[in-house]
Amino acid sequence: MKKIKKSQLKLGESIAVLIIFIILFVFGLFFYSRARMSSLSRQDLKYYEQQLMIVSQRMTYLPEIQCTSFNHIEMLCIDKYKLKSFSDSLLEDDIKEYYSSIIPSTEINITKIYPVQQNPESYIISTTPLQPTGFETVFIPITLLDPINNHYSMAMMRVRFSS
Amino acid sequence: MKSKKSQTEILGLAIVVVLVILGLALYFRFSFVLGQDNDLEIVTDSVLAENIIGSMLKTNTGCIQGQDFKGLIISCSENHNMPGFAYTCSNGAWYCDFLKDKVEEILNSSLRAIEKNDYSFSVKYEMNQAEVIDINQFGDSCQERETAIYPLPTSLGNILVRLSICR
Repeated sequence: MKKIKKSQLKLGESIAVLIIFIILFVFGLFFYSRARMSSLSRQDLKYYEQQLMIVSQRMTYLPEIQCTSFNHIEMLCIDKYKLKSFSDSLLEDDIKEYYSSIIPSTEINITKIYPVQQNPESYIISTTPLQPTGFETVFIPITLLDPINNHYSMAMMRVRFSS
Repeated sequence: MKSKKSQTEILGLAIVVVLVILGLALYFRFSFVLGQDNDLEIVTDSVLAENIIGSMLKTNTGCIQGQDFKGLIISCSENHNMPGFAYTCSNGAWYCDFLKDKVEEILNSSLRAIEKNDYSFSVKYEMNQAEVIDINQFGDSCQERETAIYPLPTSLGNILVRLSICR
């Protein structure tokens, strides 16, 4: 009887050690998977941030809408007539398809902020309709040129990239 | 024999303690990495200040036909110590007053729209740091700032146009 009790105790001890090791293993696995998931979501975010920066840079320096005068390119300046024409041309499917590869999953909104107006001029360029959530946004201050009157206004360009 | 068994048990306990400490260390390391700043925000804040000054200087003021903010800042800096000779805009406002109002208007509409309420804008002479314009909208909560400086030449020496935004 005494011998059986001792072996039972040994067995119980072994099982307890096993259970503790399993708990520790599961605990470690849980932390590792959490850390790995966070790292992956961070990489994912970094990728979208990079894409957003690429798209916003492309949009800021897009020759189709940039201010030019006798081959001189003005930085951070958008010609409002070129912009209007570009925005209208994106309504055609084949042109939209072409620009979808240059500025994919993007919605750009350019709003005049100075001189202040009751209904500020606003232009929207969109290659893909965006979902109400799940996008990254960046704001870029630019100048909006009216080349006919040679008048520069200040505007804010909001670039939304769908993630 | 008995002492050897207890030594083994202590060794086992020590291994468990080491494992727990290792786990905790890894946990704290990863939680520190996750708490770091957003890279995009740092980049965009520094570029934002530069771009605001860059585009504002090219913008037409409305003070005098065809005059941009760059010209207005230079004229204001050259005349701000001589109120008797101060130039006035077409609406009768003194150059520097008009400039201050309009800069505030631009910064409020551009920065507040993107929830950047804390900022400061100044125009100073490079040589003696004499102040021409100073707009300070910084609150106490602002810890880190991104600053853009744009030098402009005037007949009285270089001036520095400075915009700081709270990160």
